Amino acid sequence: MNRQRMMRKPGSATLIAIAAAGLMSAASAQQTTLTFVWHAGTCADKFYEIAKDYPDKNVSMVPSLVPYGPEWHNKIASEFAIKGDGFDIAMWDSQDAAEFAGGGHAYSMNKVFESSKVLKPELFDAASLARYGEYPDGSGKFWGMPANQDAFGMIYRKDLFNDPKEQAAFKKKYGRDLKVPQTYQDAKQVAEFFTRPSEGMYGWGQMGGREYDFATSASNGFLWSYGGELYNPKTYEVKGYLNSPASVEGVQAYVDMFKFAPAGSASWGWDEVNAAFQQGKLAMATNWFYFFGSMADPKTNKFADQTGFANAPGAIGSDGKFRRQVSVGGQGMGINIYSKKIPTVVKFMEWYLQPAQQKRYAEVCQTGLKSVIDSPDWQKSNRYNKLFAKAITLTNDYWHLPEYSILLDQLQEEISNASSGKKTVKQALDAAAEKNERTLIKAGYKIVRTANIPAVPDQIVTPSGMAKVEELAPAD
Amino acid sequence: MKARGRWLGSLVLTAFALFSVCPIAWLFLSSLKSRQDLFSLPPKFWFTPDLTGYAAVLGLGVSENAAGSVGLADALFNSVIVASGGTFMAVLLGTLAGYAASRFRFFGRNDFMFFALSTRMIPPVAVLVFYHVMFARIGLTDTLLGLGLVTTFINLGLATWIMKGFFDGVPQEIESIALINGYSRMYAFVRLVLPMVKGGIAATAGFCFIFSWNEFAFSSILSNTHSKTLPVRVSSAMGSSGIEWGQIFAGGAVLVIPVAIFFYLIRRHLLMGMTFGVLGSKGR
Repeated sequence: MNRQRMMRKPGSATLIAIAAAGLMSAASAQQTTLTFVWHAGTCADKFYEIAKDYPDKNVSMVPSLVPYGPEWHNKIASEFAIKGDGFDIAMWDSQDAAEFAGGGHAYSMNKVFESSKVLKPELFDAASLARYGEYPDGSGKFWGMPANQDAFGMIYRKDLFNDPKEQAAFKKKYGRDLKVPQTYQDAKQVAEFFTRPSEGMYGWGQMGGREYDFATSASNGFLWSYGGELYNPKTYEVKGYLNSPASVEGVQAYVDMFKFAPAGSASWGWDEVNAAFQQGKLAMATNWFYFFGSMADPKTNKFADQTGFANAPGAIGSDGKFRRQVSVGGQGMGINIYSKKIPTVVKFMEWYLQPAQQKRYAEVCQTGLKSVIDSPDWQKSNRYNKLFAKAITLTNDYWHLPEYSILLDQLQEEISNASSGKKTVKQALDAAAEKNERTLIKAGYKIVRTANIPAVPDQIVTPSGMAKVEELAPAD
Repeated sequence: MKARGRWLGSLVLTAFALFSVCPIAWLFLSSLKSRQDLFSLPPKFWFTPDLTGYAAVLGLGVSENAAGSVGLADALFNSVIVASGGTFMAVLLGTLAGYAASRFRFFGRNDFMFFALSTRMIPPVAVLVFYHVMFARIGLTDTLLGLGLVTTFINLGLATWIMKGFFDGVPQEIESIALINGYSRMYAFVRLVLPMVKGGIAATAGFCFIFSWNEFAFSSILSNTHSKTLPVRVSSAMGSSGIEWGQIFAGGAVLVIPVAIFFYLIRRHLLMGMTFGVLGSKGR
């Protein structure tokens, strides 16, 4: 009898152990981890913080952060190349959408829009959705949604601009009032006025680095504002557009501004521009809105109280028309098509892209959700949000082609050659146009030649010229 | 005259020591500066220490909830495992291969040595994609085993070369006597030859550890979340004002410390190994 009892005991214990193991494995099987890949920074931190409050506690978010720059693109590209599921959600740079979508690595957002009761294209501004997720352009096919919008803006030292002595001296020299420039032509004069190397002060700061997209992010604003174009998206012509008289004039204006910037600034990225301004070396600088929060923070910028914010200038082109276009930045959010958790990702996005979560996100970054961006509350929440809401309507972008990274590298090299003085601007843009077209031909694009390309190709690509200068008030 | 020569020698060595130590000293100094102090001109040597960089690197305080602080302690652990494991395997296999190359005449020996060295000549970027594809196929991406293998492959050629040099400096007669007396080759290798190249092993281990500890290219692509090493983790420091230099300097300081401790522990063997290696290689 005792032996029977003893034999029963292990049997009972075994059953209990098996049941416990079964429960544990069932519990762990329900736990799902979603991984997102992004460059490290405030926006990734905020996304992660918000994701922690996701109501479904069986789903947790894990960050896979990479340094900003080429490693970020390479990380995503290499995972796609092996069809890996190392991440489920990819925040890619806006310009990479075409490459990743074109390569078939992104899950169709159209499918998400069709099946989801919550996620619809109307949640976003049409231009934003197109910028961050549409490929090909104008096709209505979406592969990502705006995760973080960004654009170029301008910061300036309002104490210098508001100083009566400076105002009087400027008026005496140039015969007009000193004010925040609305055109690059004006900016050149103001920059010249404030360039005083013996005092450690320079009138202008801008990116010029060869690395990644630093130089072209800055120079493209000049190129487009003068009426130039990178290429014709309908005919794939580059010659006559990138090296058009308007493009040359624009990039020349960009190169000329380095005369009013500290020595060595032709190799700057955004970090150096920020650092120089925070040290009080610059009267004006252009940079991404992403950094404006730190510019307004006395802990990082000792001139925070004297920092004013403005929209980047435009330019009066050779056709007499005013244009104001700035580089678009920011990231789109796409779903890795190789992920094994797509339904879970979609459910998460349905929650994350709700106004409640996006308002939290918009406390530190720029959401793509229209209702938040357009809300007066958000626009009034700090000194520059309203300017950003305007800036995002002024944006233009690089080529939305899978060959973007090659085209970018070629243009980066030549812009760098121009700003270093190795080549003239005309030589540099001629070379860039030649290389770009060779790349497009090699990739199988058929270039259709247009007769009589105007000197200001914006007139036939995306006409945006205005009869007079649009004055945009800065935010002091 | 002698005193003057000694004085001059001391001066040169002191200058060289300062030149070598200055970057490390600047690293530690900068790791304690706020962003404003980091960029001030002229550079500040007296300032109020700011520990936010270290807090971020160690995942403490405000930064605990930030995505940027997730996995920092894990990254440090991963670095220790990957560097130690890779170093151990590279030194073990390199020692055996170096001994074989030193003692045995086999077909293609010189080509083999050049091949071993050539693995150090290839830039990682050139083979990164192939490694990624290969590792993905066999399920080694984002694993410590995968990264450990990579660091072994990276260092094996160098370890083989260095150890061959040390073995060349050990007279073959020592093993011949053992063999004549009936001992096995393995016995001679382990009990007689290895103790004589202890310093060389230490030197090889030191170099392999540095290369493994600092390895970035493969780690950045082959790891996602589970096996990310500290150099990759630290390089991702970016905040709302741009690159978080305080974090990067603090991360650099944290990265330097284990290597410094390791080299301190093996310093006697290192010195002996380096000098013996020089004498030994002159003999062959």
